[in-house]
Amino acid sequence: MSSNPKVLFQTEASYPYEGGGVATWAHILCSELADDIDFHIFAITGQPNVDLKYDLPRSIKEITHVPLWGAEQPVDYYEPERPFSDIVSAKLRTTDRVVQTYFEPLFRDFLDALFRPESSEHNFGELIYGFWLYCRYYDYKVTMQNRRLWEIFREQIYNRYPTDKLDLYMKEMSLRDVTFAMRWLYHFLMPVDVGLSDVDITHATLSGFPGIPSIVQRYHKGTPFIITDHGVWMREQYINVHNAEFEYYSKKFLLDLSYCMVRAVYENSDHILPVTRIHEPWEKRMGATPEKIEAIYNGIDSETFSPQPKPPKTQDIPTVVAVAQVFPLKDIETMIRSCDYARREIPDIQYRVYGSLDVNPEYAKRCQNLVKELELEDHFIFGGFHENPSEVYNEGDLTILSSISEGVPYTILESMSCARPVVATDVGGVREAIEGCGVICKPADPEDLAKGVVELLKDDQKRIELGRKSRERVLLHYTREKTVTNYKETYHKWQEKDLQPACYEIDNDSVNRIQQHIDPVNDAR
Amino acid sequence: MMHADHDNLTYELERERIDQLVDDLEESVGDVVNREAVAAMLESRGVRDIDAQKEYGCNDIFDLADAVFKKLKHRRLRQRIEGRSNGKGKLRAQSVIKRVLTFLKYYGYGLLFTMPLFSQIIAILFFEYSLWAWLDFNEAQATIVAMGTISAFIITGGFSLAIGREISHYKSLDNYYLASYMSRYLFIAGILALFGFWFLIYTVNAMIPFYPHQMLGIGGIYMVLIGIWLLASAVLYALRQHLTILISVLIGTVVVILLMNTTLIGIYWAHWIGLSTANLLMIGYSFLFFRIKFRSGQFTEDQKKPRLEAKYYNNYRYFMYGMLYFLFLFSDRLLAWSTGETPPAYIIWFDTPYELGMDWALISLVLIIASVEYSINNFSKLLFPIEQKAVLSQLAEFRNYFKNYYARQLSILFAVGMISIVLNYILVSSLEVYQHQIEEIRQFFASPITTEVFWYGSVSYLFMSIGLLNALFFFTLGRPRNILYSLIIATVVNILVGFICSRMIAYQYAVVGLLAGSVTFAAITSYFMRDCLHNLDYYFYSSY
Repeated sequence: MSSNPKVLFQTEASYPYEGGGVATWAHILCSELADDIDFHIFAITGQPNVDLKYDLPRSIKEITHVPLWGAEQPVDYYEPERPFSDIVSAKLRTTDRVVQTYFEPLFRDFLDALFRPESSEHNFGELIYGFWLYCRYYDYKVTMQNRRLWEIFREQIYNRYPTDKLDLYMKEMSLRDVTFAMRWLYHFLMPVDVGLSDVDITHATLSGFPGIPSIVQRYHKGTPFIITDHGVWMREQYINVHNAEFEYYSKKFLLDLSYCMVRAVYENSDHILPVTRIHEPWEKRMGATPEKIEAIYNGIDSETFSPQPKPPKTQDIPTVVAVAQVFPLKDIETMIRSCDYARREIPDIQYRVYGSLDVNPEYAKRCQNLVKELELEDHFIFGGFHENPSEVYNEGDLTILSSISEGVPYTILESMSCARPVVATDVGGVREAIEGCGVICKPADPEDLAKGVVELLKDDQKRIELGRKSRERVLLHYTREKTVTNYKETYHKWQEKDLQPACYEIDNDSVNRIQQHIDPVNDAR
Repeated sequence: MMHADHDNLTYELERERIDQLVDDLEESVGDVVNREAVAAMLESRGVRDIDAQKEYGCNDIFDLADAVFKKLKHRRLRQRIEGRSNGKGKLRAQSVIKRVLTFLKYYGYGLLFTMPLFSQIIAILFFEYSLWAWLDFNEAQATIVAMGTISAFIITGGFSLAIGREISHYKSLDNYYLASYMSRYLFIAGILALFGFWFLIYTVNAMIPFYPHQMLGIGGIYMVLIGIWLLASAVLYALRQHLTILISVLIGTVVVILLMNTTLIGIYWAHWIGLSTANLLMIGYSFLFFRIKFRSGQFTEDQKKPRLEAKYYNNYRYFMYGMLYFLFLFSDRLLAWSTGETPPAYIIWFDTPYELGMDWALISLVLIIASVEYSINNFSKLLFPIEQKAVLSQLAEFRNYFKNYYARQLSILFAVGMISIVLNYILVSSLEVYQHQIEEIRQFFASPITTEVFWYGSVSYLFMSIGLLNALFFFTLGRPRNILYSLIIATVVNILVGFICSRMIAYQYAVVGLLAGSVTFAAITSYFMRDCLHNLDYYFYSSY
């Protein structure tokens, strides 16, 4: 029997079924800690039929897969060993009377909390725990499809919106939007239907719905709960939802639900580990207490990403390199315009951008057209996806990043490790990473970016000095070993803690009622 | 003074910049939910804390967001007050012209679905042969082929419905690999069920010899080949490859006609080769279709296969409905053919006048079913946009819209049904004048039972179509349970009434059982439709 800490590792649209920065970080962690930690991955995905994108390291002992959409019986995916007769029995047990007696009060309190997100009358975490308790014995899907619940939900929407006099005369929610809103509840809260895991710690990789099993474990067993914030999930929700084609009240509903979730997650967490301190104002605003916050920076392999001389193809050419997928958040258009300004000072300058053009083909086309329009074909080159990014940074004299939103991007750390200074926009954790050893510019300002590029290309001494400092900073703060060690120590620290389960201090009556009705030890699945 | 002027100027500039942010957000986003959302969007536009301080005179990004949010909300509220409407649009039915055009489109589509059946009727009338029938079958031959056909429909009915559901489900996820996997599984299971049934009746017949074993052998081959045809059609129908079904049937029929006209192979082998040709064409096409879809799709063989118990659970009601539906449809024949003033030669014996009457009535059904197809397709197309248009306070109006829609569909169905039945009767009975010249026509009208059965059968099919319409509404909403219960009751009524009438009055009144059953099916399903229409918003919500 292993004495390693057992960690429930919760992801969403990420590891091990999708790629991306967070997935890469998760894979590094699971691989590097193969001998020290036992991981149980709790993977939330959009669809049920997904392929593994990674060779799983031996530290991963189990995967619980929760598909939010596309499965008629999603429980079959996250409990594949459970006899189906047992599932059918739960469905038969879930009568209208049961829903009315035990779930309806809970649901009403839940909606009350949802429609008054700033109110502290209801503890959202308690309600999530109450949902989970109920689902130990009764069927989640049959419950959520109950007619009475739908009528309550519809009535509440009708009575509650508008919540603010500034929303007067806003168009009412359509029946379709109300339908989708209730279905969102069903889909996003699905993790309440998953049974407990035998783990020492839970670790959510973002502060949203993947935090549900952590809240449950915290209440039921006192399992310590840690979170890694790569970006600020709620901030991204605000941007994505407002850019989506939803009507106003649908946006409001979804954002209030997300907000309640985030607050519950932060409130019930024991340790918040963002990858940069720059997000702290947002985290505090969402309810995180400063004492819980401790940054663990991303780390990279400083041996793979090490300084090398420029290759012959760029030897005598002032070269600026970027590693970025071509999509709007990376603001490649500003980068292109900065090239236009820079070449007026340095006529033979070259920008080389390595990154997939398939993520957003429409945007990629726009960028390519801009290059033609500004007659930059000889100065701005799209190199496409490169399999060995460690070779890319050493092609250039410096690296550029023009993003309008970031966490702590791996690309700048990798460039710094290659002793190539970075000229980057002041977003996310960029300032924290490169201040004093790079050039920080205003976002969406091509002239400012060009100024930084020209300054470093013309001043060899400064460029080399900043490159040296960049490498030093990476070796001090941003190595993979450091990151992995920090997490390992964190896991060991929390493994030893003996926390009181919060289920003994429940205030909510509807949750208490379910606690008395259901015996989670014997009924638990 | 100059310092104050400078401060005023700075303040004015800052206000102007804030107004520009408000303009920008109003243009790009419109209504924002809260100040945090504004802060997030300002940050995504490159505004930082330092910019909030230097350029906008605010403490930080959240302070700036607060200022922008208030201005934006007040501006939007003013606009709403000035241009005020209650946001409600009227839920109008489509214009008459649009409805007629939609009807023609979907009715035509529905007719395409019935074309394979229609082509068989034409083939028999003009060439004497169809894919599994022959005008010159004697009663023994007609018995075994009919029994084989009926058994094929009943046994594969459930599998066909399950195939349709599974393919539709995985098609919606663009997962053609699993669509193929499940249809293959159900296809093979259906074939095994056919062989299993054949083995069962053979075994029973070996102990109690109801029929000579040769008859069971021949009937069994027809049953298996027709069953395969039905299963393959189910796959292609779910993939919306209706034309392929029609072409396969036509080619198969041509093979039968050619073989009979150019060789001495005999009718059984001609049919079996024709059926096998049609089956191979459909199976081959399905195979190629899925292969092409795999290559262009994202899902591979490595994905997890569904647990079969979950599939049984999801589909068992539909499966039972599919099987029971054909038992319901054919039980009157079984009752009629097992009795009579002259006892039948075997326990069930084909009766020509009765069958001719039911086949005659089938023409009406073909024309009526196309109307059902229109109603269901149109309902699916309307539900979403009307739900989108109706705001919450228009709930009653929304429900009334679809109650009226349903009433219109019933009226259309009745009208199409009556016209089909009358037209059918007029057209076919007008051929009676040729009975002295054409032997087949004389034989057709030889017995008054044929016409009597036609009338009962046609009216039964009309009521059955009403039940079918209701059933399809519920299936569209993922609610098979009440429909299954309705069909169980209707089948019991069908068999009971048919048994009593065929034994107490005369054998041809077995069709009264079908009429009673159809009326029962229509009545009970219509009763459930009332609740559905009154709570359509709930039914739609819970249809996941």
